[in-house]
Amino acid sequence: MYRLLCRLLPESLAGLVMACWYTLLLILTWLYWDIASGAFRYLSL
Amino acid sequence: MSFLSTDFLHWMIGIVVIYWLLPQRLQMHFVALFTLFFLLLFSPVSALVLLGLLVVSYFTMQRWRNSVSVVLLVGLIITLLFLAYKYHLQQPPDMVVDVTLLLGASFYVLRVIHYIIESYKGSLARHSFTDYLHYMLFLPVIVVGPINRFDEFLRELRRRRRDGALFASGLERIVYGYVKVVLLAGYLVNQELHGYINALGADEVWLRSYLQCIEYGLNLYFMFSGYSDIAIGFARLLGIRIGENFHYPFIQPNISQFWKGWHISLSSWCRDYVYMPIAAHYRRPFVGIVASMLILGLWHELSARYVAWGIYHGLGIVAWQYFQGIKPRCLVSASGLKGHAVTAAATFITFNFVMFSFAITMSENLGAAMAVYRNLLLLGGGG
Repeated sequence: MYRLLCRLLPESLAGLVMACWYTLLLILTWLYWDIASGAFRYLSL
Repeated sequence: MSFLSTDFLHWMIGIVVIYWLLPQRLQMHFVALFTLFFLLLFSPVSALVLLGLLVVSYFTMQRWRNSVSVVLLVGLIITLLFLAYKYHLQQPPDMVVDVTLLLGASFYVLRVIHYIIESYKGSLARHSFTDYLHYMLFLPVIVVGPINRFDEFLRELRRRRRDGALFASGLERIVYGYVKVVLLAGYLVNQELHGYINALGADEVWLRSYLQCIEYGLNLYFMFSGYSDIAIGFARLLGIRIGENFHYPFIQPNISQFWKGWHISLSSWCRDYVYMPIAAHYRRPFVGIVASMLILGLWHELSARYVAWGIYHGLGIVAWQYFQGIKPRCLVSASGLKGHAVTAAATFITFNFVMFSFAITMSENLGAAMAVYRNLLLLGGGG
C-alpha cells in the first residue's frame, strides 16, 4: 500500500497517509474490541 | 489466554522489550523459557507432553536415525497417542477434564512428526538440542500455528539481527490481524451479518441457510487468518520470519488453488507427508488426494462429519483435475474479456463449493448438515 501511495504522492505525504490509516485502524479496533469479544460468545467453532 | 485480551497484548509488549534488551545469545533462551512458563500457566499437562515429545523425538533421531523400525515405531506411537487425544476430545463435555486440554497439541505434534521425517531423510542442517528446543518452544506459533518448518526456522535463527523494516512489518501485520479478528470477524460478520440472518423471515429458508454458510466461512477465515497475522507479526517483532498461512483463498479460481491459499502450513504438511508418499506408492494421485483430505479432516476432529468434509474436498480436487483433461478448448484459450469472464465464473463456483462445505462443519452432526443441504438444494423439509 505504501509503495502504491509513493507512486501517486510525494514520499512524506504517503507516509502521513499511512500513519493516518494505521491510526484509524487502531481506533476502530479499540472501539469495537468489546463488541467483538461479546459477539464471539454466539459461536461454537 | 485469548488473543482478544489486553493481558496478551501486555505480555507481547513485555516479551519484545525484554528480548531486545538481552544479548543475542540469551534471546531465544528467554523466548523458550517464557513459552514453557506460558504453557505451564495455562496448560501444564500440555507443557509436559511437549517436553516429552521434544526429548523423545530428538534423542531417538540422534541415536537411531538409521533404524527404520525404531523411527516408524516412535512415529506410530506419537500418531496413535494424538488420535487417542482427539478421541478423548469427542467425549461428552462432562468427561473431558479441563486439565487434559492440551494447548497447541494439534500443531506441535505435526512439528514433531515433520522433524522425525526430515531427520530420517537427512535433509536437516546440523543442529543442536537447543536449536530444536527453540523451534518447539517458540511462543508466537505455539497456540494456533502456523506449522513452521524446522530448516526455515534454523536459517532465521542464524541470521537474526536488528532490522527496523522487519520490526515495522511485524507491527503492521499485528494491526491487520487484529482488524480482521475484531472488525471483520467480530463486528461485521458476527454482529451485523448474524443480526441480518436472525431477522430473516421464517419462509426465507434458502437464504438463511446460504448466509449461515457464508457467515461461518467468513468468520473462520477472518479469525484464523487474523490470528495467523498476529503470530507472524509477533515473530517478526522478535526478528524471525515465518511462512504465510493464508493467501486470498476465497478469490481463487479453482479448488486446488484454494487449498494452496487456505491454512498453507497444514495443507503443505499434508502434501509432503501424506499425499506424496501415498501417491508415489500407489501411483494414483486420486488415492493420495483423498487420503490427504481425510487426514486433514481427522486432524480437525475425529468424527463422521469431518470424514465427510475431507471426502467432499478430496472429490472436489479429483473432479477438478479430471475436468482439466476434458475441458473445451474455448475455455483453455480464453483471453481478454472472455478470459476474465471465465476466471470470474470459476472463482464464483469455487467460492460456493467451499462455502457449501462449511454446511458440514458448522452443523453439530451429519444429520443437521443434511438438513442444511436440503434447504440449499431447495428440497424442502430441512427445518
